[in-house]
Amino acid sequence: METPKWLSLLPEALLLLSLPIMLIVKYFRESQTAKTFYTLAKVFLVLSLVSGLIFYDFNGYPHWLMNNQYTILFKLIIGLLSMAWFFLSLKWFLNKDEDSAAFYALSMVSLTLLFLLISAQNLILVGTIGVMLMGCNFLMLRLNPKTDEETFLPRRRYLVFSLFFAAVLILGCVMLYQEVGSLSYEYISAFLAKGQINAKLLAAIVCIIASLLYLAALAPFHFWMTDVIGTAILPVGGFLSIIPAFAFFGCLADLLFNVFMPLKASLQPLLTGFAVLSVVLGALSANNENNIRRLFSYAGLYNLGLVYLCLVGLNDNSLLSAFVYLLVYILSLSGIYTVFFGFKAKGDYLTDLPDISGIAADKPYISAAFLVFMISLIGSPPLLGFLGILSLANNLVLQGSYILLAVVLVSLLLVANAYLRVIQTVYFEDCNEEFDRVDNGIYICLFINLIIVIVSLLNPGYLLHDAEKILFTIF
Amino acid sequence: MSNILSLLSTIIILPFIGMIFALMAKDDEETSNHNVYNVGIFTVIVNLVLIWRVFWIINTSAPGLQLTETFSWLETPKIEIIFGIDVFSLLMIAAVHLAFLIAMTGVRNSPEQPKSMMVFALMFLGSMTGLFIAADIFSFYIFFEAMLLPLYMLIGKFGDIKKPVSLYRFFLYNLLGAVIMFVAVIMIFNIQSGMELSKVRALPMQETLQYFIWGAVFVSFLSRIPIWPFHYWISAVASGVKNPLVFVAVNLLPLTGVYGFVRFLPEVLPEVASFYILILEVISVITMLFIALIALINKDFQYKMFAYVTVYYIMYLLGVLSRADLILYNIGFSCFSFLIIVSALEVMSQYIYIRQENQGTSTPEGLLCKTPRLSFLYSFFILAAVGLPLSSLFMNNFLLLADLLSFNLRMGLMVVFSLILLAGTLLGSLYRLRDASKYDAEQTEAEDISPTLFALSLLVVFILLMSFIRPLWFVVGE
Amino acid sequence: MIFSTFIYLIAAGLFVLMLPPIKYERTASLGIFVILAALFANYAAHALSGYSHTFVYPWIEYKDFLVTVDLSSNFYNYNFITPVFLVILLAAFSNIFYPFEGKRLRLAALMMLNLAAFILLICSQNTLQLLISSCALGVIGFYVVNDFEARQKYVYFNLLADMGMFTAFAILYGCLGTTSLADLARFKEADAYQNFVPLLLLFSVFIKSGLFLFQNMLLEWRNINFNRLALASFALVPITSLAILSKVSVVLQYSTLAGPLMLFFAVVSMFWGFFGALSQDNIRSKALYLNMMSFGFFFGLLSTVPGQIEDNYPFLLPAFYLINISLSLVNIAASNETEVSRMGGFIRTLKYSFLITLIIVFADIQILTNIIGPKNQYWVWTFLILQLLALAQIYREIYFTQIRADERVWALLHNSNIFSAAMMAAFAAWLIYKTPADFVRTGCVFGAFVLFMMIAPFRNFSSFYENEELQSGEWLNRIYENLLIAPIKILGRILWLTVDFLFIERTILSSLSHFTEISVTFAKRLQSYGWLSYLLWGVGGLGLMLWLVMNGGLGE
Repeated sequence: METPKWLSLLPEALLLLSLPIMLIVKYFRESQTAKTFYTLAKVFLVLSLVSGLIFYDFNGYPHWLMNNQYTILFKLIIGLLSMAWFFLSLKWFLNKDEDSAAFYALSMVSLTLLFLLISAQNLILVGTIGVMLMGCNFLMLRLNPKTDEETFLPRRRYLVFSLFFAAVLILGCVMLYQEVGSLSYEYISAFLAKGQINAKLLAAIVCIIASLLYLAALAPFHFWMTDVIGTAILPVGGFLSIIPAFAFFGCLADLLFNVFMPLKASLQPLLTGFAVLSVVLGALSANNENNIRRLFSYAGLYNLGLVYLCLVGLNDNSLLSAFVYLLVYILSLSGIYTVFFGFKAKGDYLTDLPDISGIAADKPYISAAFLVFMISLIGSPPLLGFLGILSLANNLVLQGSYILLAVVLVSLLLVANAYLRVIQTVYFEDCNEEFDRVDNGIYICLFINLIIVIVSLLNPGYLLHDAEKILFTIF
Repeated sequence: MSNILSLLSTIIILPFIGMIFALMAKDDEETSNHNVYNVGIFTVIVNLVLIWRVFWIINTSAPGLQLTETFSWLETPKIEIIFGIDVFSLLMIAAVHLAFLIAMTGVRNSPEQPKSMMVFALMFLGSMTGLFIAADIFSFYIFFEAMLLPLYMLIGKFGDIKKPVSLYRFFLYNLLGAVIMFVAVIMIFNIQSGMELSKVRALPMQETLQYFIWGAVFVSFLSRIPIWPFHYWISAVASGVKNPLVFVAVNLLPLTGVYGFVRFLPEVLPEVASFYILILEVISVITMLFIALIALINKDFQYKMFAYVTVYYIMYLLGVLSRADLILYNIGFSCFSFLIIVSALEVMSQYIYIRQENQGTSTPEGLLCKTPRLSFLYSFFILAAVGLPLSSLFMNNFLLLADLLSFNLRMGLMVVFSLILLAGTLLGSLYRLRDASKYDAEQTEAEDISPTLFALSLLVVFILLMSFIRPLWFVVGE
Repeated sequence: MIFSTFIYLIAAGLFVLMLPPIKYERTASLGIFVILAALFANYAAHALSGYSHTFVYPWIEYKDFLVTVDLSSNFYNYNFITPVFLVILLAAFSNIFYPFEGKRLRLAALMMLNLAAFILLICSQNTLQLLISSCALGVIGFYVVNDFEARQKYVYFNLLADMGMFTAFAILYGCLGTTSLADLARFKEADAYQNFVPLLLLFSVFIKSGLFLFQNMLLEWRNINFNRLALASFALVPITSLAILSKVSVVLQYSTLAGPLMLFFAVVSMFWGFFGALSQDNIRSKALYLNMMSFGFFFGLLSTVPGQIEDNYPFLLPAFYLINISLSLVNIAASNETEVSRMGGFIRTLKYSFLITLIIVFADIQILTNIIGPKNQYWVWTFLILQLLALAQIYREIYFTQIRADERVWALLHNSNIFSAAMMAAFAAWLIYKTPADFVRTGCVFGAFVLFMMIAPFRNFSSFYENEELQSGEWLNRIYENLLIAPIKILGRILWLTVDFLFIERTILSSLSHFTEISVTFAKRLQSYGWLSYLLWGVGGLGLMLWLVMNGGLGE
């Protein structure tokens, strides 16, 4: 019997299925807590991942979606990270006694869209998902119970500019369709290979890439991310920083490598320039920031810049390097966000640097983990971050881009300087506040993350090589 | 990783295991925070025993690295981690461990958070050990940079740094050096098929690339040694540290630079490089004089110690640059005594600071009066530090200076002059401490060091004397 | 034999040094003297019988770096060790009775170690053993010189001298590739630093022996007691340096400058010592200047007739030591009064002491006249006359002239321990007996000495006693301070201020951190989270992207 085509959409369908269930529970079940929705989200996410693993290379609609070992790897990473993040977010909702239904529901929608984006083989899909993601993000940002001006304005700005970039994205797609006659990757790639390139086509591609860069929050379209991170609630801020990165990376890599490759000469310098801009801007801005979430958001910009700097080499080696760097970066960043759950006093999650001064004396293990992840983010051995910077630097040396390497290293020093300020505050200053007890779950998450960091360093083979092998041996 | 429990890797891992135990050590009023110290000291002692064992196993007169162990680390790019050892690096490890052991005894009663101190100290020690055992460029680099973080934490937490900015600069400066080294390592990696450290010295490469790589390597190692005009970053931090453990750790940093030169200095110098070496030598000598002169006018004992340490390291560097085999072993032995003396002196001066604080005096004059045990030890270590025939330093200095003087008389004389200035400075400070006329008899009766510590210190004295009488006395059938 | 003596001395010395303070120090010191005497008797018996034995221990054998420890018994070594042994013996003896000694036992232990170190020095056959023993003697000297100020100078001068010697030997090893003293003869072949190394060695030795310009270390010893002063002068650093010089004299031969320089310093020191002995009020200073004269004399002897000093040296040293003792007797008798200007007329009470002094002077004359030979006659005569003139003036001021002592001193004036003094006289007599005599010549010279005492041709020098500047000896300190130390310190301060502070901190670091600050602020301004910033980045970025791709893309 032939396998039904729709089965290839099973993971996404399962994710979406959680929505009506959550709705039913929300309105018809009486005893419900934050944990109820977490459990639902968890169950459906697991089911989705399992089904994804089972049908990892099953392609029901090859012109729209493509599943292979790479897409499942990305989805798996996103799924596992989401699972951990859901767990941590639960602590926030329990602590704040807030309703978690909206957060988990929106996260499930967002995840569905990200899963689709990873597999997308058609720009119609990409455009639609992009626009929906912007909307989804906006709804997530609205979850903040505060209604003051400071919280409200960034959200509104985000909405306005998201609308603008959604328009740009749609415009790009329409223009491209007018030129090529189809938005399927395969057609576009074949069309571009013929070399019939005109200004309109280029403008269309620029519009599409710019919108995707806006979603990925890469300079010069990074502004919204640092703005909203400062005001979003912790679960949302963390979700936006950690989870989508892989999906955008996968999507952009797919587009650059498989679709826009013929335009390499035009796009490469541009993207390199943007990557460098991200690196420099991130490194510089991190130095003048007292809000730790924003600080790490800038540091994130720097790191993402490095990832894309690797990627725009547009060869196999650069792709692998970028992937390794991204993985290492996301692992460390998720550690940092886990630590944020531990920075708590009088029931409030602390966001300002002076508030956490001297916390090391009171919370040595949390601070130690913070330190480890920060150093890992700098890329200093013997922590995992070194692996990322190693693959990046090796790639740049292979490409002969010594000037880029120099820029990267100077920026690294700048970022290190920003982190030193944090370390100084956390470790060397006097403790002037009573901090709340930290939930054991957070310690467990930190511990697991640290183990991954350490094991990955001792035997990094599995990250770079074995992950692929494992997939092939299972199936 | 078939040979995971081999001796060298165990020696590297042990401090890290100790670190984990220190992290888990439970301390309260009852144990008066001694548990974590005991963990630290026990770790170092066990590692010393292992190191001693290695001395027995290796052939002390054979050239090249021995007991090599290879681990496959990364597939793409293909990187193997290799460990190996020779007498020189083994001596360094032994010296570093002994120095740490001595310094640890000095902080036993320190009121500050002992746990983090021990954890970072052991982490630093592990990285330091790793650096000396590393036999490939990657592990060399990993340990070269890895030691910066624990060091930074040690200084930041326990170094009494008044201006955080100077600490930032110190770290960033060292990080810059490490980063430059990183670039060089990757470039070397992309040229060479294997990555053994032993092959680096004879690496064939293009001329321009050669300049770039060797330039980067030299700059990165120099970033560790307080050479003019970059001594400032290091001196601003190192001279302010009062905690003996931290001081020892900070002042081990230049050793990594000197050691780097030992391992990386090309066997056959390219022609233009010899010009750079000459410049380096000139700058080194100027730095020596400069620092010795400043030490002469600076009243702070820690600065004097910093100057002492720096001048010696620069002398070792000059010795290394002369690239004679005999000199290299000589430097190894010299370092052995030198590090022990420095850490012992630091521990002693810590006691003097405590006395000074207890007595509430602003100047340390006369503080050694009425404390015969402390006075004896302090005098011994100062005299040994000055280079009297009390440790192998005397003989090592003789050979080193003979080499430097015959290499270039003027340079050698400047080195001698710096040593004289320093010796004068140290003796002067000893002198003031023993100045009975300044001793305020009305002050509370001073507390001498405990008999236990005195006995331990006598052991150190014995080790130093033995290093003078028989440099390799602890190895049977040398 | 020398080896066993060395071992006994080390063992006994260390043992006594480690003893806790005991009650009967005087008796214990007597015990130590007996031990030393027994060792000397054994030593002398062997030396006289010409016993020889070779002891060479290979200490370090590493490639071409070979160092041995030599403690062989032979004629040369006996010849050098005997005088110091005698001096130590005398010092150990006077240590029993000397009233102003606080740590008798410790001093005795130091004496034994001193002798042991000196034996090591004399027996050395390589530069390293020489250096080590010299350093050891330096350290022992530090403990013998138990005054704070004196120690300070001692340490610095000795350090300088030792480092000089160290450097010279390091250069010799560097160019000869050997540490053996016997191989120093090859120095000429090495054809390098023919003047530098000898001069460096000479200056080190000059500093150690406190010759003119370097006398500061020596003169500070006026603050330590007489027994220690005499010991330090004749068994420690100055004598050590002489021994070292004679051991490496072969190196000096190749230098054209060494001989004249040595002679010059010898002459100047001798005359300066003479002037000092007359013009200083402090009796210990007088003794020290007399000693300085003697060291000048030794250097003169070495420069005129290299071989001479070895043959006649054994008795010279004890004779000069006894002259110190003769002054010490007065000091003890006058209850530790040090100013000669407050003595005078002591002959009324100190008849015995004066008699002993005369015997000592006679012995001194006997020994000095005995070494006169055709090559050194002018030199010895000059020294002898200067010394006698100085001594005559000093003794005259002490024993004759009018009474200037204060009442307490005068009332307490007494002959020092008669037994001890008699022993010293007996020793002087033994020296006279052992020296091949030309009594007529000695008698004549002694007559001249008595005549000098009566005429006192330099009596006007006592007017210098009033001169504060000269008495304190500060002028030389000031010269050192202003010409050497101050410039170095000023240089250090200037370097620190200009390079560290102005150049690095204020220029490089400031500009770097300002640049970073400006960049950071600029970046911050550009992203001020406002509508304008959104527009700038979002729309501007998109526009820029379009413009770049259009231009670049279409240009292809």
